[in-house]
Amino acid sequence: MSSPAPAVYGGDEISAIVLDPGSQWTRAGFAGEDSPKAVVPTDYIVHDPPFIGDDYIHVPRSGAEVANPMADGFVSDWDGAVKIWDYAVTKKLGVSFSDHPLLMTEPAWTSTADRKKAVEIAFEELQVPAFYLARSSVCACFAAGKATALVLDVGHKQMSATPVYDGLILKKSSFHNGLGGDFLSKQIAAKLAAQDITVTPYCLVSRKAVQLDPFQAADSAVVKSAADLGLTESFLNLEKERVIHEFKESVCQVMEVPYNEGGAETRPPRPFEFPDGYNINVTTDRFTTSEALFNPKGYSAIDVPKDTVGAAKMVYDSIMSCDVDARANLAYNIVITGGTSLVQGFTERVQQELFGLLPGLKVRIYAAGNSSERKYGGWIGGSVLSSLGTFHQMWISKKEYEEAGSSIVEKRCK
Amino acid sequence: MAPIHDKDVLIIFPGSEVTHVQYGLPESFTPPSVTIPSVIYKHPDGAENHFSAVEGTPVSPIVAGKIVDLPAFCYLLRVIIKTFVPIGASPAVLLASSIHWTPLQIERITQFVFQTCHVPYFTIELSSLLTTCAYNCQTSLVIEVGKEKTDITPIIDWVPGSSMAVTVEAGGDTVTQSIIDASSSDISGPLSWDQATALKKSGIYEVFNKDSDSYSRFFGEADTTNKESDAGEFDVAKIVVDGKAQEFVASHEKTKAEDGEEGQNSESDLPNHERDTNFLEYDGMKIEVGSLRFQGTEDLVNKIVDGVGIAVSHIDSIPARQDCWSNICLVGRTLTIPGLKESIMAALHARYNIVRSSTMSEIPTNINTPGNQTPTGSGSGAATPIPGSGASGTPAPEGYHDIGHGQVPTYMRLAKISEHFPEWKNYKIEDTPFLGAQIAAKVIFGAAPTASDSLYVTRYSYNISGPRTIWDVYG
Repeated sequence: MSSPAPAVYGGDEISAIVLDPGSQWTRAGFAGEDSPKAVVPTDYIVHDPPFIGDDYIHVPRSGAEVANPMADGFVSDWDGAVKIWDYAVTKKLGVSFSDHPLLMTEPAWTSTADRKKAVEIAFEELQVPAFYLARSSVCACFAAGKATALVLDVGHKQMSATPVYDGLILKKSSFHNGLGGDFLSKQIAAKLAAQDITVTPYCLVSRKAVQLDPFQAADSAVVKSAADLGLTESFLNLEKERVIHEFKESVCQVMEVPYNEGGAETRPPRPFEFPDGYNINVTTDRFTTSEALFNPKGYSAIDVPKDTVGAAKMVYDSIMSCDVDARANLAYNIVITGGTSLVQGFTERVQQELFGLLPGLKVRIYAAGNSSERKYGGWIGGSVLSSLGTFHQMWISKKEYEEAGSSIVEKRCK
Repeated sequence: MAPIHDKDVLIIFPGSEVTHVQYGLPESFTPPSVTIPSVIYKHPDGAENHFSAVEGTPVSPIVAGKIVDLPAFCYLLRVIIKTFVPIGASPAVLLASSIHWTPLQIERITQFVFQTCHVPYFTIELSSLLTTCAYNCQTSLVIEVGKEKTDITPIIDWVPGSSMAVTVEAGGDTVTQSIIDASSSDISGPLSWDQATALKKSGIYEVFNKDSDSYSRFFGEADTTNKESDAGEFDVAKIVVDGKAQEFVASHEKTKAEDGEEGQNSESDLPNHERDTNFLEYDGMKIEVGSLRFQGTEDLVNKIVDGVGIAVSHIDSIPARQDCWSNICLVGRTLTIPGLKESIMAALHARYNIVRSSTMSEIPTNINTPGNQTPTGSGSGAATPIPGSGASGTPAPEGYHDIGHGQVPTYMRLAKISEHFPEWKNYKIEDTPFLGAQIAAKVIFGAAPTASDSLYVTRYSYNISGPRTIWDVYG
């Protein structure tokens, strides 16, 4: 039984749809609400029509391939993306795109061509009456109740640091790289592989072994063969990711100081059980896996581009590349958002490192304590933004689009 | 404004097959007073959206939880309201909804109820939330097994997690279909849909999975409808933990078989699950049924177990996940099949429960280490139950949050129905959502109408804001 939302002037009455397409999850919901009503995996099963949504994609099907329409934080396969959005809005929210204005989020680095394409798709294909393309870092900033902040967004496929000043991004000072949740999953997968641990997904376990000692072989488990079921590599990876995700949530931790073996060894190990009953006590790998988010060169088990920097260094670089007058304000308003920032100890470590990197500035970190607010920061900000009464004039209407064409997005949505 | 009297409360709980209705909240809550089929008729004159309550082509407004014919559904509501509410009364209507209803439908229903039915007080609540009221769990996992589908909805602090909910395309019909598929190789011969349905509901159809710990009272509540009288008490927790379930079942069966030899000579005196065949009464016929009566639920159970794993993984907070595992509300008429509930719980337990012998690192210490094993705040002193130590069957204390152990669940059980309702002592599982609706109605309409956090819409507020005023209380 939810309590009534506080009355806010005007904007929410047009009930805009807010769409936040991420690499792993696509979030959709109504403006003015405090969380997205539809959260749909961005992975889908290639089929005609495609299988979309958590209720369908995890069903083992022979020969079924998994696809993802996003690349580098934005849409690369528009057909696939539109089908997922349509599922989220039509099936999950139960409304039609043509009845509601649409606010969509985008990262700070989308190309002009992609932005134009987004406007075209919105008006031509989804038939929305009005559209706006908002920077997700600006949205995360609003979700934190700020207009000026340095936003560190740690998503699934990338990590980005973007300075926002009075609601506008400073594009030249924003950075991003591939250190995100997927990167962390790969660290874990590599560590497990190095120890000859096979991750058997739930869909292959008929009966798990019980009461095993740590590291005791799960021979008594009854496991199906992926080859017999005709399961593809991409599907198995999707299902293994669910297990690794659980590992991330329950085992991984970032040390509050740069990793050192002596310190890590004094910590109690954390047990982890795999779907087949095999279980391990994770000792220093709890820390070394996530250490790669801060020190990719030293700790990444997979190859990373040479210029990849860790989270705190990226924030530092971003602040230092801004005008000297803005730095103090940004350092004092650092917003951390994105699901991967929920790895234990992440925000504390950013803070610790920044104290050292920015000795002359007052560093203050804002990270929502509530995990759904952290995961959905971009969406929530979009919801706040589009329900503001003053936002009415910002929408690109269908008529304006017809008159000015898709280039209007560059003028209206900064 | 005058307070709302209990006698004016009208509860409407629609499903795809039947709709439960009750007018007036009794002193002590009782099972629904009226159950009607969720069907109305297209008027013989053939005009569009012209319905009749008695004659014409039947229309089912709800299919698989979705409202597929809104005008027909509204007509059904109107018939119910007109039939049950005397002229001149001012009813307060509570309508149970489903996650499959669209926002537009909810606004249209609100509009219809105020403008056409002239109801002065109205509210809509999700059926999963109403269900959880019967169990008095603020955080729970509600599994509603329907006819064509099963909805799995996490409820966190009384808020239904609509975005976390998972719908599985399997329900009572899945079982019927599986029975038909298997029937051609059984002594019964191929069964028709109606025959298979009759078998499913006959009581001789039961789930008896030797590999699991069915027929147990391990998972929380004592199931009075399905208690094995001669089984005696045994600690299944211990047996499962020891990994000796199969041996135990075997030895238990043997003991019982011996008892049977001594005490009973005729097979017809044996309990159903010990007989090779039994008879299904159907239309005056007696159909002999063999092992068919113990199979056909596997598909449903597997799909529900898969769906539960996905739904729980959508919950953000790990302590809330454990709370959901500790309060599982299984409802739906299909679950009256003896042993099915236990079978689902056993399958969930086998798949997801963390059972391992290593316990060392999971014991919280009082040494002040910065690791997250350290108990913090009010949680200190609450030791993690240690699997294998015999403590697994002991319920965890209320409000217990598993701080020192990242992975969940370490424990799972069925939620218990509130104990204050003597009329529901011998409740049937299909009626518990309705008990929840009664409790909710009492709470919702019992509050002062002027309260700012009112959970229902009045005609006054409807006249000011229109149909969208429903969003102040719902969703």
